[in-house]
Amino acid sequence: MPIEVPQSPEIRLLFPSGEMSVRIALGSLMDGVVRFDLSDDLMSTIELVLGEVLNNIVEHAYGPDLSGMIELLCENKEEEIHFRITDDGRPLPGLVLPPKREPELDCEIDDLPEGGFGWFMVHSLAQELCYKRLSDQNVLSFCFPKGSVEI
Amino acid sequence: MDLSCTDTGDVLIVTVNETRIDAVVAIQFKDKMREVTNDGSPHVVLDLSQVGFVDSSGLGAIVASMKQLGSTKRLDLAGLTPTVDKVFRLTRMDSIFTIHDSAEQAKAVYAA
Repeated sequence: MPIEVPQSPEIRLLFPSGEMSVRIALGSLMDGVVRFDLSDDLMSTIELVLGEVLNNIVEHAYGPDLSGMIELLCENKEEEIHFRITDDGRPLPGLVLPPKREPELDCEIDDLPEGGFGWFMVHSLAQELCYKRLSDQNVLSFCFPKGSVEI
Repeated sequence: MDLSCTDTGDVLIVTVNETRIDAVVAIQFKDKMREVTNDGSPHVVLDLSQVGFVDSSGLGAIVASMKQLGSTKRLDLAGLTPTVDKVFRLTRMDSIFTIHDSAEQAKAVYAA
């Protein structure tokens, strides 16, 4: 029978930029987060936001022409789950987070947007969203309160 | 990207036999949708009951799938799981698509 060890309040992942490696890392993160005993709603919020943030790094910070690593730190705190994501890719344009822009749906079917949902979802679901460019690295941090209301 | 189709004569049900529509498979999904909806019923229902996760790329691919049907066909959705439902509500895309509880319910709606 396996010996029980104290459960770490941290999850650290380091993985290469790439769509498939993001999918695998997200799977590992969600397997790890299970031990924090969060609500189903918060689990799905975490998976959605991390999916967007990590794919954004793959598509834009590194893009098809650069390769590099992505580092993810998840901390289970008393009142919240805190995340910090670091990469060595290109900075966000203007060194600022893209604004929260709601998708424009009041149009003909042909003109409906097929993109631009990602940052809107991140802004809507994550709290204390903060971006910094520190010594040639992008550092994005955010958190999810455990007592948050369902969206 | 594993899609299976059932054409009842009134409606074409396209079932996604995958657990995720994410950045890895979004383009494959869109291409496969074009292939399977090329002809057939004017009513197409996308059964997402096996799909536990859709990200913004997947959402974009579903919107693109509706647009590529042209003006004579309409794409409905069925069987949204909780996370997928959250994505559609959050982006208000639930106001664009007709959403059925299940493929069975959609079949009943379109039965002649």
